[in-house]
Amino acid sequence: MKLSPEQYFALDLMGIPVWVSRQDERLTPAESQNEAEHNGHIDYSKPWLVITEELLTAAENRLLNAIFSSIDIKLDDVMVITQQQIKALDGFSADKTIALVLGETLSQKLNMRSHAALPCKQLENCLLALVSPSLKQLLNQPQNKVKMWQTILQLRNLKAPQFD
Amino acid sequence: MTELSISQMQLADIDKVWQIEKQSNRFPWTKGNFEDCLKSGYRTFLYSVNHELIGFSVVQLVLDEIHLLNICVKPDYQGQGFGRQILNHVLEIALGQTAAIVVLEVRISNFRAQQLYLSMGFNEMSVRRGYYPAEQGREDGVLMGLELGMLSQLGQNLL
Repeated sequence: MKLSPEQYFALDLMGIPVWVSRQDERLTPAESQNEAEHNGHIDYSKPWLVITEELLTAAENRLLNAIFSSIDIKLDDVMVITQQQIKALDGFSADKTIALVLGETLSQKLNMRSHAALPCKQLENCLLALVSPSLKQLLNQPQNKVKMWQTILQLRNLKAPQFD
Repeated sequence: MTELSISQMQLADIDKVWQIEKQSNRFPWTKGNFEDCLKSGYRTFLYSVNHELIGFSVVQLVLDEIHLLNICVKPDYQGQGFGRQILNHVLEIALGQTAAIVVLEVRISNFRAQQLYLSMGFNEMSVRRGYYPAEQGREDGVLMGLELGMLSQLGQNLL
């Protein structure tokens, strides 16, 4: 329902909040980043790598932003690649980057193995990695948030002993 | 409206914060509760007027949810719109974090706070039986939530 300026004015006078749909279609850093990735610009120096099955939607991107923000990590420090860009993994160094694989199905495709000493997995190029539910799953089944929260805290803790 | 100045709570502020907490609540948090929140990396804010500390908020971020764990205004400054200003600040934080929802719990007997939350768009989500300690046994807690999915541009009267 569209309100006239007079109606907005009247509601404002009465102290009634006016709610509108969130305009979140604007490009956020990760989305811009995804565009860059498709042009072949992958920043291998980022400390965090997220591997997804496919490009993120606006809602998924917003959720990813919130997830990393909740552990004080800015999306500027996160590189997002899709499974189509998996060859790019070789460019990342296990000394600098930790990966988060979104989705069990994707993790099976990546041929990951358990780490000998740490509570995490390793990708073929030895990058430490954790697996979490996909963002799509998380949006459709919020009960998966528990697992995601545990994984994201583990991810943060994994970074601390390794690099600090 | 008097402008609040906002700063981050530090360990050294806990004594002052706890004084306000004690003055404002029948069952206040302990100093240890505040210390734990700081150590756990929760977002903790102080609000001052003319360099006088008049309130605080404690917020936990869990993925895309913002949990408002504590919000408090010094008794002398209550009823002057500062609670609404503090809540607005928390909503700004939530929007900045691209959170999907803000949730909080409030005593079922605390009508004044519930009125504030309802006027800011919060809805009752559920009741937690016997959630709070009370003078006589336990008191129910009301879980309230504000979905941010519909919130990009609040009315001028909100933010």
